[in-house]
Amino acid sequence: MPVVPDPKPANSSERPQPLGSTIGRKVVMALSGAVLVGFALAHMAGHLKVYAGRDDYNAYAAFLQGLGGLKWLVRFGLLAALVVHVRSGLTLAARNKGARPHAYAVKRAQRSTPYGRTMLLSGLVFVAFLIYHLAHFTLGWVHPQYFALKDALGRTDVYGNFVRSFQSPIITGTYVIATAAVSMHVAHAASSVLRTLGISSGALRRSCERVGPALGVLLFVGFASVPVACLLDLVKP
Amino acid sequence: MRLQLHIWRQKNSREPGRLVPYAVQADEHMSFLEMLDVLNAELIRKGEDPIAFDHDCREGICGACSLVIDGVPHGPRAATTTCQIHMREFPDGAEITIEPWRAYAFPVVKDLMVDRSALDRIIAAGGYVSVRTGAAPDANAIPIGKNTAEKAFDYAACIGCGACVAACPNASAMLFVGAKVSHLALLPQGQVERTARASRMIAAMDAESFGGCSNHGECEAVCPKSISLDAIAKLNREFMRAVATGES
Ligand code: SF4
Ligand code: FES
Repeated sequence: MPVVPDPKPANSSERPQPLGSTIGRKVVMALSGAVLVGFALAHMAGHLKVYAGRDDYNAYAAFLQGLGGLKWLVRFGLLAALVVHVRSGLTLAARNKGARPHAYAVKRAQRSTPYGRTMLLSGLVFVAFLIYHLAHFTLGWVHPQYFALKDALGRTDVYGNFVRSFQSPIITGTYVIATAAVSMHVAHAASSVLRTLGISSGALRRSCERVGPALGVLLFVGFASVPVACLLDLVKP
Repeated sequence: MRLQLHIWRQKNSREPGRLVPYAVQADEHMSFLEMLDVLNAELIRKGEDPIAFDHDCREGICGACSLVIDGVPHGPRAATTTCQIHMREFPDGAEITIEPWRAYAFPVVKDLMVDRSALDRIIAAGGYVSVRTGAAPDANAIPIGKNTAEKAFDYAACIGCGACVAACPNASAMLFVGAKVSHLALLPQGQVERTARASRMIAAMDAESFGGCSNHGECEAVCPKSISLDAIAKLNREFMRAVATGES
């Protein structure tokens, strides 16, 4: 009897790997991105305390440092979210690039935004900034002169370090550029997350499409205002 | 009217192509494809190779026509196929660039004609309902609410032209797949194979090397049948449903 070959190879459409599919990766990227945006908002709210003055800010910083185990749990959680997010982003970007090997001679964008089309760039700028940012405020490797100060109560004078750092136009400029990159990233991403998770459709669509740009503006104003205020001497060390 | 065209010429999928300039005398009442017919008649008269382009119904229903006109799939008019574009859309003396759909999954057959059978293979992977053949079922035997019927019909309006892929910066086929999956997921007849359909069609779409969706919305803007991005949101929901029920 002749052997009839199986028309469908076992690894094709019959047994898909859900998380390895394009949509699976998108869902993973959306969820990890949502975690990172959640942290960004909390971080922004926290550092707006600079406007409340040295005492409040240093107390807040000491409180965070005192969280011990919880602090490390959050740190590892964020690192994991970042790694997963970057990995799925890079994998998808490579795939998307391969899907159109030959570019159009003329291509007119109808609906996409410049910030939506530069997600890879804004994301990579952010990662580079993140390394610098951690080296600046968490590890004290760069600009150590702003790292060692103590306040009157003997606490690390995070407030003083912070405000003095941003009196430098170069440091403030770097932070403002990085903030712009993150804000542009989130302006596209947040609305994108809502569609990837299937929420942005029907009656909810218009509101969902406003979430991204609104969050982008909020993050930019919230994050950039403090270094700029320090530079302009509106906040004193 | 006189037109200056730059048309993509390519012998076959292996040889590289290039934009070639042509001048043509057209009438503003001609359709875009008739204008190309005029140019082709002239090329044939001169003993040159006519320009290959896809077309069939020329009334906006078959999905065969497929030109990127000045950087926009299906040209300057929203919700309109290439064959329904008329030369009055363009000013006299216009310079127009005409290119094929560009995607890894759509290899050029010749000139402006691409092979879109990747879309057929995705449909074959699950874009159908299995029914027993025999006598036609009674009309209205399965009642379907008006709103549901209309929504399903809106998704069913997809003509499979592939403009969504052509417009997408990632050459993603999510709008096409989303339209079919949503259409059948809304109807009672589609329920039995609902989860298997979604996962099979998604796997087939990936196997054809289409890109992923970055939610740019370019597809919706050029779709001649105005398929909404809601189709993509629904496809994502159907995917998560398949994962959740373990049927992926
Ligand atoms: S979704 Fe629209 S653009 Fe895409 S294949 Fe269907 S009709 Fe064409
Ligand atoms: S030729 Fe049939 S839709 Fe244009």
